[in-house]
Amino acid sequence: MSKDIRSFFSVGAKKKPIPPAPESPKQKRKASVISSDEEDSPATPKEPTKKRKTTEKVDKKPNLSKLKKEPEEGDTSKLMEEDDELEKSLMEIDESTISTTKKDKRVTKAKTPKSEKKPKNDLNDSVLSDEERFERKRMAAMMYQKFKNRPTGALNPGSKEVPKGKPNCLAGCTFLITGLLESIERDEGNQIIKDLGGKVSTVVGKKLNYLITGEEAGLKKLATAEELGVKILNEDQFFDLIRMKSGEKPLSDNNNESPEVKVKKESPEIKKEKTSPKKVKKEISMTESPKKKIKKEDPSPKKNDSSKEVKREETSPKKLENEESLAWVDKYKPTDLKQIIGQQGPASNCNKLINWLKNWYSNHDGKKKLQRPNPWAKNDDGSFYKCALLSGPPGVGKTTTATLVCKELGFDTVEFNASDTRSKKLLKEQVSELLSNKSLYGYFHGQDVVSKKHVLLMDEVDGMAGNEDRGGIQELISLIKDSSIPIICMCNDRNHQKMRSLVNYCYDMRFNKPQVNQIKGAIMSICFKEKFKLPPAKVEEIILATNNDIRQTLNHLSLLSAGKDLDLKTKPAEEKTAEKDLKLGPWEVVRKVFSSEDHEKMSFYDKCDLFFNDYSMAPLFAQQNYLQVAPKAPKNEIPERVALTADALSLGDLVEKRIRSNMAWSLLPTQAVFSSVMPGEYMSGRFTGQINFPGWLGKNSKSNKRSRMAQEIHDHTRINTSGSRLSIRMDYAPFILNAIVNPLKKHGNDGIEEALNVIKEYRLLREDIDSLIELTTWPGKKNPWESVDGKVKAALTRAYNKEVMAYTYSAISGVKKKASAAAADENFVIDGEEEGGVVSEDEDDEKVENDTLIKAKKKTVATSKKGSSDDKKKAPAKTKAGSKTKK
Amino acid sequence: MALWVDKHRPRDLSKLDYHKVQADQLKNLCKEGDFPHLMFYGPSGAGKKTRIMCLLRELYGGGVERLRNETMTFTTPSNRKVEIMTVSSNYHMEVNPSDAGIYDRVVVVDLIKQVAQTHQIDTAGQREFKVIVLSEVDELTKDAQHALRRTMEKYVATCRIILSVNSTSRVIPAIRSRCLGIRVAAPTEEEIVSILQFTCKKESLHIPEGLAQRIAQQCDRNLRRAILMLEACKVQQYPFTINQEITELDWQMYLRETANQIMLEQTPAKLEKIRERLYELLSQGVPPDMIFKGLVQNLVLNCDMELKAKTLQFAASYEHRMHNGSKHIFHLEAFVAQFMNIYKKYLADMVMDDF
Repeated sequence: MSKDIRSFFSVGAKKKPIPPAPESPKQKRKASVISSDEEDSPATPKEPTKKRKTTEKVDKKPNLSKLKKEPEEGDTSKLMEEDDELEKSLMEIDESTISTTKKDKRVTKAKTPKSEKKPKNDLNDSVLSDEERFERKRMAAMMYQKFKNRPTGALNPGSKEVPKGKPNCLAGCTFLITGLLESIERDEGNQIIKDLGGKVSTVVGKKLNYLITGEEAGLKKLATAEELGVKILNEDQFFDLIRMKSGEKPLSDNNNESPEVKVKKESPEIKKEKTSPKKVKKEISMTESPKKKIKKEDPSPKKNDSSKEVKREETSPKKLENEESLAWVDKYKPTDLKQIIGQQGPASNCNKLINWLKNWYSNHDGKKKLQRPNPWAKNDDGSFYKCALLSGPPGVGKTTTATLVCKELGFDTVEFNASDTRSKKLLKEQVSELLSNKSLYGYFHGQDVVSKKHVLLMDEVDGMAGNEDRGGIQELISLIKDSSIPIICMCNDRNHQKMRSLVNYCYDMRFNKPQVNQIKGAIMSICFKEKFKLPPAKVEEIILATNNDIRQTLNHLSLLSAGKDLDLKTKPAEEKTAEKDLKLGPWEVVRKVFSSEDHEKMSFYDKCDLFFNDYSMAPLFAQQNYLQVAPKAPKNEIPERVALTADALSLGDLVEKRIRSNMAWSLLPTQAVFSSVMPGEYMSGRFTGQINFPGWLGKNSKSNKRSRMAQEIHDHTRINTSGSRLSIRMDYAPFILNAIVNPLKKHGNDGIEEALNVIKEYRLLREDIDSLIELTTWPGKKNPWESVDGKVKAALTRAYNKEVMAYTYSAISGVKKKASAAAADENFVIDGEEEGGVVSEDEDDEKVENDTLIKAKKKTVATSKKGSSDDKKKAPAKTKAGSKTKK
Repeated sequence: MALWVDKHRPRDLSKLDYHKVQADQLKNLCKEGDFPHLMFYGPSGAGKKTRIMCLLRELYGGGVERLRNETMTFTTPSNRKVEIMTVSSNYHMEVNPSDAGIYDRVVVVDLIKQVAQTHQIDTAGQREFKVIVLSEVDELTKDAQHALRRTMEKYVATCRIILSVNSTSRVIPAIRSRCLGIRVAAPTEEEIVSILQFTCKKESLHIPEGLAQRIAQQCDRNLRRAILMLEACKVQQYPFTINQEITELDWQMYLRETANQIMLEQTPAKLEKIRERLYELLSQGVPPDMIFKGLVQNLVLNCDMELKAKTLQFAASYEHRMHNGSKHIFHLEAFVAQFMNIYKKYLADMVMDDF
C-alpha cells in the first residue's frame, strides 16, 4: 500500500516529478494525491501483496540509513527499529492531518510503529492473537480521533487559479470529492461542478466518472474507486480537465499521460457533445432551466471573482437557448398592443377595452349615476358596465389583448381560467376576498407603490359548467354587481345558453376573426425571422385551412418548419392533415358532393365524410340542389341520371326514418351512401346555378302552420259540420269563405248581416276568417277577400265584436292572459239555434246566465280586437240590447 | 245561415235518403236498448257522421243535439299538457284523438276512463251508458289503438264507443273484432242526383236533371262535396242551366295542371318547378297519397299500356316508400323524375318509329 502512494507521488500533478524519499512533510501535503496509470494493479487482492510491497518500497529508498538492514527484513523485530519514512508511508494520511506540532507527531509515531507491524504479520500468517486484536482496535480509535480533529476548509485557499470553463463542459460526468483540496473547499468544488453541468455524487459507484482526492482522502473511497476503475484526479488534474473540456490549454500540458487525454479517448460520447454544443445546449436548457433559475436567485457565496464571471456568462446564453426551445406561439406572442393582429384602429375592441378600463374607476366611484345603455346603441363606451365580456372564436387574441391592455395601463391581473375550479363556493371564498386586496407587486419590484389597481380576468367563462363549477356563473354575476375592481370575462360563444344571464351585466365586445391578409403579413414576417421559406400562397392556404385562427396557423407553421429538411413529397400530406379537421359549411359540402373535379381526388370514404359534416342538413341540401347540377353525361342520359338520383334520395329518406324512429344511428353510413354519395356519383358535374338553402324546412313549417289553422277551424265549426279535419280543408273551406265574402262583395255594408250570420252559424272567430283565406289561397288565384272594400271589412269586424257571443275557445285563442277566468265557465251551453228544435224549459234560465257571462267575456274579446276605443266602450251596452232583442 | 250541407242534413234515421235498410237495422238496434261498440266505416262524404248523430238521437232523444264545446287537458307521462277540443252533449262526447298527434294514446286512455268511470246518476235518462264517438280512428297510432282495445272491454258496462273510420285497413284487427262494423258506402250517382233535386226542392229552386248529373259525376261520389258544389252553382248563376260552369275545387285544378306540365316538358329545370307545385299542394294539406292518385290518373291518359303499367308500378312503389319514409316530397319527386325518364324515352322511341 505504501508503495502505491509513493508511486502516486512520482506521477503526481507537480510539474516536476519529485523524488519520493526525501520529501518534506510540507511538500507532501501539497501533493494532494493520487490516481492514474499504476492503479491498474491495485485491483488485485491486497493482503497477500502487502508484504511484497513493503519490501519493494524499502528497496526504492536507497538513501535511507536503514538500507543495510534490508536482508534481515523478514524479521519483524528489525522493522521495529524503524525509520520515519516507513511510518509516514503507512500512516500518510494521519501525518498530513497533523499539521500541529512535530513533536506531537513524533509521539504518535513512536506509538504507531508497533501497531503497524502487527497487522502485517497477521496478514502473512493469517492468524490473530488477542493482543493483536486489541492493538487493532486501539489503532482504529486513534484514527477516528484524528479524523475528528482534522481541520476543515481548504489548505491554501485561493492559491490556484480556478478555470472558468465553458458552461456545461462537464455535462454527463459525475464527480465525487473526497479529502481536503488545496485551493478550494469541498462545497465550492461541488458548486463548480454543478455550475459546469456535472453531477456530484456522494457515493463511489459505477456511475461515478471521476474521484477527486485531496489530502486525507477517504481510504475506503479510494479503494472502491480503484476497484471500479474510476479515474482518480487531484485538484490540479481536475482543473486541467475543466480547461481541456472547455477547449483551453491545460496548464499541465507537459504531462502526456494526463487523465484528460484518456478521458477523451474513452468517452466518445462526451466528445460528441463537445462537437455539437448547440444540440446539447438545447437539451440541457430544456431539462435544467428550472435549476438554473434557482441558481440565479441565490448565488452561492464565492470568493473568486472569476467564478462569478463564469456565472454571468452562463446566464446570457441561457436566455437565448430558452427562446429557441419555445413554441412559436409563445415566442412570437405579442408583447405590445401594436403587435396584436387585427386590433388596430380607433374602433377596435382593443381600444374600446383600453378606454373602458381607463375610465373604470372614474365611472364607478359611486358619484356618477349611469344609465343602462340601449342594447342597440352603436357608440356605447360601456361605462355602465363593471364587467367586459370578450367573445370570439379561439385563436383571435382575446386573452392576449386583455392581458396586454392591463399591462399597458398598469393594472395587475388576477386570472382564473378553466383549469381553476370556479364553483360558487370557491368564487365566493377566494375571489371576493381578492377583489378587496391591494397588490404588493409594485412594492416588491422597486416601485414602492402599493397598487389598488387590479383586474380580475375570468378566462373561458363558458367552460364554467358541470358539477365542478356549479353555480359559478351566478356567483360571478353577483361578484360583478358589487365589485370594486374591473372584471374582464372571456368566452367563445356569446350566444350560448349558459352565457345568457351573464351577458346582461357585461360590456359586450365581440372579437371577429382577423382578415386573411392581416394574418398573412404577420405570419410572413415570422417566417422570415425563422428563416423558413414558404410561398405566400401556401401561407394563405394554411390560414384558410385553420379558419383564420392565428394560433393554429402558427402551430401548423412550426410543424412544417420542423420538417423543412424532409422531402418535399411529404409536405402535401402534412397540409392535408392540416385541412382535414375543418368543418365544412353545408354549402361547401353540397358543392363538393356534386363537383366532378373534387371527385377525382376523393376516395369513397372522403365522400362519405362529406355527409357527416352535418348529417341532418346534408340530405336536404342534396335534394334541393341536385337539379342545379349539369352532370358530365351525354344529354340523352340526363333524365335517367336525374331519376336515379331522385330514387337514391328517396331511399335515403327511408333510412333516415329508420334512424330517427328506431334510434338506429348505426345506419348513418348507409344514409350517407344513399343521400350523399350516390347522388354525387350520378350527378357528378358542375353547378350551373346558385346553391339554395333547402326549401323543405320552410315548406314544412308552412304546412304545419296551415294544418294547425285547419284544426282550429275544424274545432270551432265542429258542432255544425260533419266531417274530419281533412274534409274541412279540402271541401268546406272555400265554400264557407265564399258564403261570407260573397254578400260583402255584392251588397257592401248591407251584406254584413248575412256574412255575420254565416260566421255565427259556424261559430267562427274573427281570426278564423284570415285562416280560411290563407287555406284557400293558391298561387295565381285571386284572393276573394281583397276584392272586398276596406270599409266593409272594418264594419264587419266592428259588427262582429258587437254581436257575436264569446265561445269557450275565444278566450283561449284570444287574450291568453284572461284565459284562466274564461276557462272557469267552460261548461256553459250554447244552443245550436237551427238544430235546437226541441227547446227544453230550463233553456231560458241558462240564457240568462249566458247574458252575464257574455258581458264579462265581451270585454276580453273586445280588447283583443283591433276595433277603436269608442267601440269598446259601446260594446257592452249594445250587446246587452242585442241579446235581449234576440230573446 | 248555414250552408245547405249542414242545413238539410237529416236528423232522424227515418229521414235518411239512402241505405234505408241499414237505417232500419240501426233503429232496431236501438229498440233493443243496448248495443255493442260500433264502427262506422266508409269514404269521406258518405254520411257516417250523419248516421251516428241520427242513431244517438234515436237513442237519447233531442237532448243529444244540444252540443257544447269543451277543451279537455291531458297530461302526458312526460308532463306535457295536451289540449283537446271535444264536442259533447249530456249523453255523449265526440273526440278526435288524432288531434293530439303522438300523444293520442294518453287522450284515448284518460278520456275514456274519465267518462266511463262516472255512472249515469240521472236514472230518468234513457240509457245506462254514455256514448263516446271517436272520429278518425284510422289515424291513431298503433300505440293508441292497442290502448283502446283494453279500455273498450273494461268499461263496456258504462259506455259504448262508436268509431268513425275511413278505411278499416288501418285499424288493428283487435279493434275491428270488438266492434260491430257498419259499412256506410258512398252514395251512387243516381242517389246523389235525387238528393240534389230533393235539396233544391226544399230550397224551392228548380234544377235541371243534366246539371244534377254533372255535379254528381264531378263530386267523386262525395255527397258533401256535391251539395257544396250545388250551392256554389246557385250563388254563381240562378236560374240553373244544364251547361253552366261548375266550380271545381282549387286543389283538384292545381293537381291536374301539375300533371299536364309534367307531360309537357321533361327536363331537370321543369322538375324543379314541379317540385314547387308539389310543395304547394302538400302545404295546402292535400294528402300525399291523393296527390299520387291525382297525378297518376292524369298522367296515364296519354300513355300506351306498357307505359301505364310502368307508371303504376312506380307510383305504387314510391307511395309505399312515402308511407315508410318521413319526407313526402322526396318520394313524390322521385316518382315524377322516374316518370319523366320513361316518358321521355317513350317519346324518343315514337319519333324513331316514325322514321
